[in-house]
Amino acid sequence: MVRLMDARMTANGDGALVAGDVDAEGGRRVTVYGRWDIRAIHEHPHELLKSLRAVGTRAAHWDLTQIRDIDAAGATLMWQAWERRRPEQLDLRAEDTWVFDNLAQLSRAAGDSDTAARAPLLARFGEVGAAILSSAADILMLLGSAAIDSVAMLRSLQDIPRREITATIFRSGAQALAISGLVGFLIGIVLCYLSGQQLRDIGAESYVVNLVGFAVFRELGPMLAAILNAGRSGSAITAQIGVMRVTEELDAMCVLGISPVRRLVVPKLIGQVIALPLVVVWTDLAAIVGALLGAKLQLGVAPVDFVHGIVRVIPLSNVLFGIGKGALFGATVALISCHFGFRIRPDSESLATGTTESVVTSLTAVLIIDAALAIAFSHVGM
Amino acid sequence: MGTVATSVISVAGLQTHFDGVEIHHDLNLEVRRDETLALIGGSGSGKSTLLKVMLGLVAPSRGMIRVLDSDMSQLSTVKRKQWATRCGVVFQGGALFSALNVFDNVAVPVREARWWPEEFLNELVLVTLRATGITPEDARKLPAQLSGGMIKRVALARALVLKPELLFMDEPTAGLDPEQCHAVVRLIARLKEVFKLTVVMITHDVDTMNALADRVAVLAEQHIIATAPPAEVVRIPHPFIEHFFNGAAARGASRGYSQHGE
Repeated sequence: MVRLMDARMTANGDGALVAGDVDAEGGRRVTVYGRWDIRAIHEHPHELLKSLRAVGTRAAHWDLTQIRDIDAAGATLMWQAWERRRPEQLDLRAEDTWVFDNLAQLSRAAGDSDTAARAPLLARFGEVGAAILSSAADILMLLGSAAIDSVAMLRSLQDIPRREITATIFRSGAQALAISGLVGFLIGIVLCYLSGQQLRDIGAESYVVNLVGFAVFRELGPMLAAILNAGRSGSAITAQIGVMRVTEELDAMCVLGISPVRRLVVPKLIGQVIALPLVVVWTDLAAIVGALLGAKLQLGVAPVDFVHGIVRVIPLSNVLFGIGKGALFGATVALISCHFGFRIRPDSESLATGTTESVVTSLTAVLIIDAALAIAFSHVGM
Repeated sequence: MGTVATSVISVAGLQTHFDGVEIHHDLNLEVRRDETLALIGGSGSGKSTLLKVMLGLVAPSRGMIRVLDSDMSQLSTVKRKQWATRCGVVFQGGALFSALNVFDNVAVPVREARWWPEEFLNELVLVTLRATGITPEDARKLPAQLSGGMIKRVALARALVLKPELLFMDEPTAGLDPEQCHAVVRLIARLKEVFKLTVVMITHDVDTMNALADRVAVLAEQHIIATAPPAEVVRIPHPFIEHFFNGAAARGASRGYSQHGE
């Protein structure tokens, strides 16, 4: 007697159906009918698997010759019901053998395809440390290559990539003026308002000039310019070189005998070293104008007095120190951005990750260098 | 009457413009169920645009396009999603997602349709990949690590994983060496039988056309100038057809695959 265990009827009347019976010898016989492709069974895979398991085990005689259609999805359910081994007694249509053969091969290979165990925590720390050291070494090598190429270019001046250098100065410098000026101006106002409040409480309003002057020329101007530069120009440099990797332009350059370091890194390095100090000066000026306005509104300091105070109390060495830091930050951002650009693999995920890593590393490097310089040159201009 | 009943794609009076230039003018085309239709034409004749129109990726200026009983101009977003599960597309360059490995590329349509539980997905994807000749070891690779032939195979697996009724292919053998080309042609012929597919393919390759196509539609002068079985289409007296097939013969491009790649 046939016992119908499940009948999932699809809209057009095709059902995935499984029936269990006992044959003449007392053995279990399971017959499967209808459509067992993903289109027909995707709404009830768990129920169908339950029915398959309920109606018979792998030991039963499975008859799949009555099936109308089966694909990898339907076969996968049966494979699960058979605990990933082919039943000894299995009747199949010739056109369906491929899918079960493939499943059998997959099961044989399953032992080899297990996911590799995750490395222990200490090993992962080691990997991260090694990656940082490797990156640092690569950046140093890039600097060395750029230095060698720069010297070579000085021997034949017509080889200097003027167009690329001026393009970098324009992008990193001229195009950054608006945002750098705005940020500098606003920071100047904020700094003056916050410090002015504290200084007035102790009757030391006149020291606002000293405080703002030192902070802006020595720290804030170069730092703001470098942070904005890493976000704007650094990411653009990494993305540009990364896309060149994806589109095989870098390979084409090498094949044509053009050094990517000479054509891409050196102009960006020189351009950044020229542009960023200029942006620092511009940011300094914008911040001083902001502070001047803040001092006038908050403390009633006349603009002329403020300017005179700045000139009198801030040594020129402080301003030059800030400008020098700008050049160093420019070179740092350029080198790190180029390094991460060259490391990008030809896929979109790598491009996104590389650009993010480039900006984060540039900012971190700028902060570390700034801290080191603050300690090393604490006696300069104070 | 019979033709209408078995029609899977019906294009009537199609007019398409691109940047003000007329690409198609009064184009009519019918694709019957279970057949393989090869769309041939010169470079820039609008074959790929016609494919995009049939897929609803490009809106025509005028005309009626019905694909799998759906009027493409009336398809809502929800219905389009359901409709998309009935079509597979193999783009010329594969269009694999470069950030995903082979396995995840093939799993994308299943996950997107939410058709199959994640715990059963592994075997479904790997069996489908095996059907196109990709091993589980290759399933862990990124598209950038694959050869041209493997990219075509993975693209085929991704197109077929939801068991579509209709398969579109844009230049399925472009950029492959003769051996790979032959292997992909044989694979497509086998998959067409296994998956019971209706196939629409764009091709420049006369040998691929001869091996796979039941009918050939020739796109020239902004419309379909002829539709006939491969053996007959070469005999149609039209300057473009004579030039196209004589040119192919002169290039010595014929590698002579027999029907269905055997």
